[in-house]
Formats: sequence, C-alpha cells, structure tokens
Amino acid sequence: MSLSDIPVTVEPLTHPTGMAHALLREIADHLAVLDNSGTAGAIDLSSLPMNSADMDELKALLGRGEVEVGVETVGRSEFYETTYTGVWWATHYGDDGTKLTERIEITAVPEMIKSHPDDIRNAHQRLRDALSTDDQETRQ
Amino acid sequence: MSQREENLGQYMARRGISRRTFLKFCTVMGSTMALSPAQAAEMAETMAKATRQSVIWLSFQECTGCTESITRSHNPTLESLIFDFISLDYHHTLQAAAGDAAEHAREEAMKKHKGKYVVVVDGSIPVGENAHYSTIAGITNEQMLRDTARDCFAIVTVGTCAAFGGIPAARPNPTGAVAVSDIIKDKPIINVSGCPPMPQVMTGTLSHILTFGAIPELDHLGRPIAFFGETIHDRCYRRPFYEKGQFAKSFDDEGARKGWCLYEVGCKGPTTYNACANLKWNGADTFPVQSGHGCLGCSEPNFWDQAGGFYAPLSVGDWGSHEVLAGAAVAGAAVGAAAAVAARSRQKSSKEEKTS
Amino acid sequence: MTLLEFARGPAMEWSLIILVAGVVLRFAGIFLLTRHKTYFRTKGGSTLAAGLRTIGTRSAPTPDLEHRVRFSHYTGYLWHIGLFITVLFYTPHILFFESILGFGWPGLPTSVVLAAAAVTLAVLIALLIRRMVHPVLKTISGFDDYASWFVTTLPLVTGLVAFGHIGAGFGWRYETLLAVHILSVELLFVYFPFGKLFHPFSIWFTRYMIGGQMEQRGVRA
Repeated sequence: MSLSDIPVTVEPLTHPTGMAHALLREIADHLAVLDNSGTAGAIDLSSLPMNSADMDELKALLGRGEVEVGVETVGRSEFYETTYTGVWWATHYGDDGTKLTERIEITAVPEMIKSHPDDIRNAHQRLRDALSTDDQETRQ
Repeated sequence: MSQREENLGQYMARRGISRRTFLKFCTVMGSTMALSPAQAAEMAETMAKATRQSVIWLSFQECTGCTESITRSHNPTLESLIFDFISLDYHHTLQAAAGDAAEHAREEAMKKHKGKYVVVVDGSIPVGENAHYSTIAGITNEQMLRDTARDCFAIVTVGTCAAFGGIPAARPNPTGAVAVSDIIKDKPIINVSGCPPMPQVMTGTLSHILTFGAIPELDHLGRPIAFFGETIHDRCYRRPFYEKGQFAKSFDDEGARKGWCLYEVGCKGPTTYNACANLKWNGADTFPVQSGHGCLGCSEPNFWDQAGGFYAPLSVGDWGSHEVLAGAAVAGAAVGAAAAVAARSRQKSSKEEKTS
Repeated sequence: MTLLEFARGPAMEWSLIILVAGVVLRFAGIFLLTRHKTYFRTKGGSTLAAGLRTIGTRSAPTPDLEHRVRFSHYTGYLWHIGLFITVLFYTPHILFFESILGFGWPGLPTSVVLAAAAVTLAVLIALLIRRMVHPVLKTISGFDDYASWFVTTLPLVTGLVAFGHIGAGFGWRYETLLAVHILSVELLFVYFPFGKLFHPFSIWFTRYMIGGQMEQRGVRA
C-alpha cells in the first residue's frame, strides 16, 4: 500500500463563507488610498481563514487584466493585474514549486517587479566593465 | 570600503543576490511572522541599509539537528538565505576555518561588534565539577558561554537542549547538563525550543532581531509568542474528531486510517506550544499528527521525562504500579484491623461495665 | 516540576495510594466490628434472601414516605446518572481506568457526555442552594455534607472549563486548566474513603445487613 492509498482526507468546506466579499471592500479602501495619495497597500491572503471556495470566488470577482509577470528568483513568483487597475494578485513559490505565500497588492507596480536603484547601479557598473573589456578586445 | 563595513545591500550587490530575491525573502518571512505587508517592506529597507548582523553560533552538547533543520529545510535556498544576511562569524559545522583560526575569528568578532553581536546556542551545557564533559579547544562549554555572552546583545537558544536542557538533561542526566538560562542571568535570552525547532521559526526569530534590532515578545518560558503562542491542539486539523470523541485506538487501526484524533496513542498536542500545525514541516507539507503519530511535546521542558512516556494519553499519568497499590491495600487492612481491635475491646469493656 | 507534571506524577500516585488504603481500612474496620446478637428469631425466610432483596428495594423510597422525598429522590438519580455518564463514558477517562484495571470499554460521543455533565452540574448547584436554604436541611448539614459536595462538583467544573479552554481570552493556559482538573480529581480520591462519600462502597453491605437483621425480627425492611 502506498501513501496515496491511505484514505485520510480532510473534508474541505466547499461553500464560500463570504470572506471574498469582505476582502473586496478592504481592497476598495486600499484603492481609495492609492487613488488619493499614491500610497501602496497589500493584503496577506496566507494568514486569512479562507477556504478554496473563498479563493476561487475572490479570483472570479477580481478577474484577470492585461498584465502578467513572472519573476524567477529562488523559485517562481507570479503577478497578474486584475480587471481593477492597480489591484495585483501575487503568488510566491519556493524552489521546488511549493506555494509559499499569496498576496493582493494595491499599487501601480508591485515592488518586486520594479528594478531597484541599487541593482541598476550595479548593472551600470557591470555593463561599463563589459564594454571596456569589449573595447580592449576590439583594439587587439 | 572593507567588507566588514559594507551594509547588507552592498553585500548583496557584491554577491549577486538581487533585491528582488531579498524582497521575496522578506515577504515570505513577514508572512510567517504575521507581520503586516507594510512591515515586511519596511523590514527589507531597514535590513538592506544596516551592516550585516554579526552572529556567533556556539554548539555545545547537541546532535546538530538544529543546524540540520535550518539548513536542510525543503526550500534550502530561501530560508538558508538568512546565512547570507547575517555575518556568521563562528559555526563549527558551517565555517571554513578550523582550530586556532576559528577561535581567533570568534574573539575578533566579539571585540569588533562589542555589545551588538548575537549569540546563538544549540546544545546543553554541563556545569560545575562536570564542566569538563564537554570542551572545545580545551575550553569548557560553560566557560566559553560565559566569555562569549559577556558583551553580546542577546542570546538565541536554538533547540530544546539549549533552551531547557533537552536530551542530555533527561533522567539520569549523567553530565549534569543545564540550559543556557541556568547559567546566563544578565542578558536577554530568546528560547527557540523544539527538537529540532522549525526552520521557519529559527529564521523568523533571527529576522525579527535583524529587522527591528529588538527582542520579540516572549512567553513565560522565553519563547517568541509569534510562533509559540498557540498549542498544536488549537490549530490541529484533526480537532473536529477530538471534539466528537472519535479516536484512533492504536497505530494503523481503522480509526487511524480514517485520520481520527491521536489522543489515545499519546498525542501531547493540547499541552504543547509550537507552530507545527499551522506552518508545518518539510516545505509546509506535513507535521507529525498529519503523518499519523501523536505530538511528542518536543518544544516543552522535560518532554523526554514526561509522566507515562510518549504513548501514555494525557489523562493517564504515572500512577505507580499494581504492586504499590497492593501494598497500600495491605497497609490499609492493617490499620483498619488495628482500629477494629481497639474498638472491639472498648465495646467489650463497656458491655462488661454495664453488666457488672 | 510544572503543575501538570506534578498532577500526572507524584500527586496521581499518592492520591491513589491513599484511596486504596483508605477504602480497605474502612472496610476492615467495619467488618471486624462486633455486631449485636439478636435475641429473637422468627420462623421467617432466609437472611441471605432478605438481605439481597433489601439491596434492591432500598433503591426506591418507601411508598408511605415517597411523596415527602420525591424531589431529592429524582434529582439525586438525575445527577448520579449524569455523573456516571461523564466519568465512565468519556473516552479520556476510560483510558485512565484502562491503565489501572487493564481493560476499558466503549465511550459515548463527546456531545452526549457534555450534555450529561452540564445537566449534572446544574442539578448539583440547585441542590446546594436547597441545602443552604431549606430549614431542616440547613440545620442538619455539617462539614462532611458541604465538603462532599465540593470535592464532587469541583472536578465537574474544572473538567468543563478545561475541555472548553474557558479563559483562553484572558490568558488562562490549557495545561494549567488540565492540571487543576486532574488535581481536583485527586482531591476527590483522597477525601473519598473518609466520610459520607464512602457510600458507593458501603451501601450494599449496609442494606444487606439491615435487610437480614430485620428479617430475623420478622420485619420487612
């Protein structure tokens, strides 16, 4: 008998509990703040008592928009903008594909997608170094 | 700029760790520590601007399971990133240096970061006339701990051995081992207990110190409430079976196969504080109860010596033995008989008085 | 040693020793006392049969006086049965008995036990109030009556509080509640042999003896 044959299951609640609608209101509040002051916000979905039916309902309510971004670093992180501009769905996976955390980000662009000034400075230096090596090789 | 003076952001740039990687680490850690998303972002900015926290890891009477737990986590690259974000100036298993060079590195770090370095301890410590049972480089563990702790900012005990004595301190405690808090009385001590502790808990606690430069809120046993505030029982997915009274009677019986509560096979979930039932092990995959074995209570003091052992249910303790109770019955019979004899002779003498 | 370690360790061992020694002690004392010789014998039936019959008949009040004791009779049965269900048919308790006796028995669903415990507690509280207010009862009640009520009710209360983890909101820790419950049971064990609480053991013998003695005098008791 293999592990998958052991019939130990936890019956998940298959009905939405209403959390999705409550969250929609919270997202609306964050969007108001973003609209008025430009301040970004986020909601950590992993820590909330949401069952799979709630998650599906929330995803359906928010829908998918025009942008989808994948970030490969220590595992994959996936972002997509919902049909509400400024409301993004972020899912972070580990190296082996396990879901680590899930968030709703209310922002113009999620922080992790942006290129950080320190990394840009670093890249500038690297490219300059690469070009100077390139020049030396061309001259030879 | 010397490597020691660069901040974490510069270190990451030099090592090719992108800000995105670091932000992902802070986001996931923040979620584990139940920080608000805003706090997680603040965590990233604060940590990047600070110099890397100097950490001295002292290993005493331990099995190295705690180091294995933190490095062998299912997502080794994410959680063990903590080793990039700290400056691990001394660690027997992970450091490259050995012998005198290693001890010299420790002493230099202590001098350079006086008052600011964090000491991490795993393993328990034999003391007093038993101190010689565990030595490193000819120095007893007790002496090394006292010396190293003198100028530290805080001590993080990792594992039940360092936090409470653990397996070396279990009956009969042949080396006279004690916990760190039995020796050091004048420094803040954070007890990250567990046998081993959860990797997320170790990393999360260190991250908290790195980010906020402060000790997290602790319970009465010195454990961070963020991870040790709830019992396994309170977050156990088998709780509905407990509430209904559906228990597995033995391993692999019908109830066990149906995933019923493991109270009868000795689960100590109700009295054990840890994050196993919600954060879970092996890449957030499972924990002992989910895999079919009752909780051992490994993050609690004296769990090795608990009354009745691992498999006695909580309602059954160490009630003694049938022989002892038989002896009690004999003693009771003797006392009762003596009382009866005394009463009878009184009865007889009073009757004789009446009739005479 | 934590309170729970104490409750599940030395306290459990010693309270059981005192319980066993106390029960045997009292039995020895009772059986070895002289009994009055009876001077009259009727041609009546056997003492044994009469004794055994009285064990049964004394479970109900005598018909002439039944109307006077009706309340305490029915409430008494109600809370005794409720207590038996709670103590003997809740699985964690069965495990305790099984560890000592070597055998167990099936338990009832927890919801049934909870209901029984709640009813038992309500009745016990009502009966205490009655004892303190009723003109006759309050005059004849002594320390043993109130103490017996206390050591019986305390495990019920602490058991319900522990099961429901009442007080979690203001920082009461489960392991403390469990320890207090186990200690309250151990208090019951220790008090058990030495007062009116001994009746579960003694009434069978008392009823038998009275039935037999009365039969010898030609009276049905």
